[in-house]
Amino acid sequence: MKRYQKSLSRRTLLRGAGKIAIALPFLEEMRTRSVWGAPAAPPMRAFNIFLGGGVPFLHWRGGTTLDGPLTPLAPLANKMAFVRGIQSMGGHPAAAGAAFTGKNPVNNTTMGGPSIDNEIMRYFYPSGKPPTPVDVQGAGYYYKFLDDPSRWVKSWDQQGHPSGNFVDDPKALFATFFGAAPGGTPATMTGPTPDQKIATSILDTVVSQYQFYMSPASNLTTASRSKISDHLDAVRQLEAKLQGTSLITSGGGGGKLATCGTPATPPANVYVSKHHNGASTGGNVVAADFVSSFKIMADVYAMGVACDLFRFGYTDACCAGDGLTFTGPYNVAGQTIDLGAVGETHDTNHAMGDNPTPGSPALIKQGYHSHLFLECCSYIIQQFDKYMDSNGQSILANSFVMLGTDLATNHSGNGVFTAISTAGGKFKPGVFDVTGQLIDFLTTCKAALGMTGNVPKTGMTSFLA
Amino acid sequence: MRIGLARAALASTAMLAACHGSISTGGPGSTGSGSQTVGNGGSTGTGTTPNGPGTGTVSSLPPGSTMTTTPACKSAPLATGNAYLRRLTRWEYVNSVADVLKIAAPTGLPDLLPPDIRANGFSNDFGGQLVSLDHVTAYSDAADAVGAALAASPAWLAPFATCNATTPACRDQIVGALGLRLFRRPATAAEITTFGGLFDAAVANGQATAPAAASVVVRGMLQTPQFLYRIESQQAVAGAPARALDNYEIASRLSYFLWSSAPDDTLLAAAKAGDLTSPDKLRAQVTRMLGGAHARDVIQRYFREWLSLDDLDEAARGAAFTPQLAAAMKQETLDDVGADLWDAKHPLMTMFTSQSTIVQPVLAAHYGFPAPGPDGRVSTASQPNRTGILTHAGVLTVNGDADASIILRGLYVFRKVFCQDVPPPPAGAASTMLAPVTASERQKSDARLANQTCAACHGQFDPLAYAFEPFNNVGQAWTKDTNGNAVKSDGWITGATKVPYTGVGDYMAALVQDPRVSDCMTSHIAEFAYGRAMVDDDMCMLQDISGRLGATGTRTFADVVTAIASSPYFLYTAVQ
Repeated sequence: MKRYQKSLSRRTLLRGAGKIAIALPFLEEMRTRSVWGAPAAPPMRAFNIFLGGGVPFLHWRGGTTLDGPLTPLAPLANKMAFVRGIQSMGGHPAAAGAAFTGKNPVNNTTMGGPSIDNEIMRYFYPSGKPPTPVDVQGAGYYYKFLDDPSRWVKSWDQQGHPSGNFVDDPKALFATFFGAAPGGTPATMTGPTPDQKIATSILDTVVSQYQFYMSPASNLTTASRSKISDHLDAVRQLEAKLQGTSLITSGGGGGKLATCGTPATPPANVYVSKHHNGASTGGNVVAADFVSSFKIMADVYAMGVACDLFRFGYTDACCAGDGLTFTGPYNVAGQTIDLGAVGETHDTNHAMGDNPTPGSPALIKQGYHSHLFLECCSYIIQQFDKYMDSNGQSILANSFVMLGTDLATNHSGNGVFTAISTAGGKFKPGVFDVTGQLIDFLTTCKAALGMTGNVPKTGMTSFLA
Repeated sequence: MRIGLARAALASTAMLAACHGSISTGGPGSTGSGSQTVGNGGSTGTGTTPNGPGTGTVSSLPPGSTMTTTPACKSAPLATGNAYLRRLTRWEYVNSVADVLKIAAPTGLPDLLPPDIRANGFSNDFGGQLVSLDHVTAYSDAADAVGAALAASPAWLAPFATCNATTPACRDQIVGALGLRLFRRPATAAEITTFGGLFDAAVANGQATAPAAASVVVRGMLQTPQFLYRIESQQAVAGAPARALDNYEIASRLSYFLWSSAPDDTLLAAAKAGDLTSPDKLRAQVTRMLGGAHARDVIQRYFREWLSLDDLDEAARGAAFTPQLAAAMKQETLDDVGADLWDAKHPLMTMFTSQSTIVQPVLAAHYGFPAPGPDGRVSTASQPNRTGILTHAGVLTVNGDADASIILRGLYVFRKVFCQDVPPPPAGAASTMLAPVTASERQKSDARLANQTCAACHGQFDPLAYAFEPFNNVGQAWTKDTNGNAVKSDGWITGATKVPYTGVGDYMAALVQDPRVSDCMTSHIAEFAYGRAMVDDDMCMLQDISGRLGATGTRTFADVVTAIASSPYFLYTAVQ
């Protein structure tokens, strides 16, 4: 439904339309979101990049060389710390839920604690939230397990509950951030009709109610207010969508970088997640379509960061235990990987068992699966490296970006694949061996980031700068 | 920690209550009259609490409150864990709109709203209530649809106001009346001002009549947190680990538990009068509400979600498993529990032993029963293994997979009937094949149990599925599996003491006698009531609920619901 392009303050309109002036308790909050100066230093950001199904340790075929199934990561060899030897939980549900928390889930919607991005957000922003239009943005693809968010939600709040919102349609993500029209320029309209004015008045009123419940006066706990805040973020996105504008044109993005622009408009036939909730196997997906669509999503997502629409979030290159079958060839840097007409599923991970023979057909087939998802993950991380902050370093170099997965081999968490960005020089690029649990790794990362109360763990310091 | 794991170490709560007796909370506790501040910072003015500030523990309850929990719980908080918000489910949203506005829900309204995530098995579990652009878009579209429906019913406003004008006085009356129903408590002064402004904006933009402008107010209110979320004040009272709900908050808890809908006028009037903090008057409201039309729908919803019957929509079992058959399977269980456990008030545990059910012709043919009569009722006695709800074809389809897996069926019973769980499979478990591919499910299970490593977990739940081996993957009786192996039905109920059974009849009888099962039934219904998983800290509450119930063989579903709603724990919330 197309509403109208805002040409004057909505609250001015609302007040003018009504016979009385309505209460406007949210001006201060609006100001902080729309009148930012350019940040003097790069803002703290954190992103969790997840791939489902794991990366077996045996794919480190050349010792420290990123080749074979790890080839997609080669462009990041000098930009990230690839950490080997971390012990995580076994099995999809527990390990996927714990991928960025390091703690066993309580159940499929409640984790044992917050994810590291959420901890960083609350530590570095005294209010617990960044001054951006969206607090936490998730994006990516998954199939199945609607009822098990532990498989695909990768940001968890203080209470271990899902944080932020998630978009699995590149077109929707684009429209929210940059508007429906190419170039982010709203379509020219002749002015608001009475119905459009009413629709806007409704949204203004609704927004004011969410803003009240985000305030201490609401008598809600911090965690509950955070949930309300997530809802308000989505309302703001709706507001922009209905006005034919976007988060950019409706005042967001005040801390945007000079390179903030508009990515290419996603084509109509872009792949979109097809949710399912019970069947053990999903439909076939052409691998090339999946990768190209993911990259379109990544372009939009990374530009959203460059435009400072959000500073925290996560992406999914499929969820743990996904049931899709990927078919056909796709090309990466001159390599052609052909998954064939029959295709590959995540079951290939399990077919090889816990101790596959190096070079065995099962391991090779699993490698296709890892390669496919690593290509997606690598691409979005590389997008973060395209945009430069005020200190001349890229978003990737300044941010805490963690690449994680659920499993190592089969259902084992013994040596789960992990990589992190250098995060402002806190970590060294390269390949490092460690010994210890995922929770120890995360604690060490927090310590290195200067988060008080955290001490580097024994056996976990090799990657520290 | 999920409570099931701890419960295994406990005796039946009924036994606990019997051993320890009741605790009378005498003493000079305050009867309390302090109003609670809710909503937009205004006072509801009538939200009396049951015990004033108090300490939020059993010992602080007012004189006359009777608890049936153990002495150890006396100093425990009446609400524990984290405070949380619950958003209306799709079903609750539709019910609330229809009941509050007294209109038929617009056609297609449920489909406008995103499906609920069934976290922990239940769609009303707060843990799965993520929010996204899809959600708020849906809420906007749904509100517009409701507005259109109101426009088609010019007299819709009459129940809400004695006036029908756009004057300030009438406007405020209308906004106040709509706020009371949609926010489930009196609107605050700030809310009346804000939504009054919206009313005026609507008038100024062509919605010149009171019903038209009021419909705009409704569209706005339907998208607010006050409507979409069940908001209870989470502000701590000094020194108290839990906070007593006010009357309106109690009304909302009751109505969404018993009706999956908003409070009706009678319940709101009771809240206004402060009646809901009186145990006797609260119980009277529970009794009244259980007689309402929605209550029967709720029991069916509970069973639909507890047994995961909606998974039938996604199940793939070959061409013969048609959507029509799947729908008939689901309907059998819903009709059966509605007729037996609700209308006829049969004891809850009889669901495991009943040899009667209600089927549609397509399902009767699937079972091999004669065509049913007009009421669909058939006896299952002709198939000796066909005993109880766990042998309904729908359950026997969703509890396994295409192979009628003993593992999945055992886990289904272990989790849903015993409230127990096991850790995820260890490394390599999925690829371990201890018996030939063509072996029967039972032979494969025997091999797992002969392996010490596998038996550590599989020994706990595999045997709970042996009784179902005489049924194939769509719940039809068979004597040989697809590989020609003869099927067996003997086994044992696992636990500290093995309870052997020779077939389904023995098995179901053993379930009825097992205190873990009756405790688990109570626990699941409590999860449905509270919208969250039960954890160790809930043991005191569950003991109190069980202590309010009679013998396990006589308690009905309504008895359990009443016990939950009557327990003082139901009247408290956790705080920050």
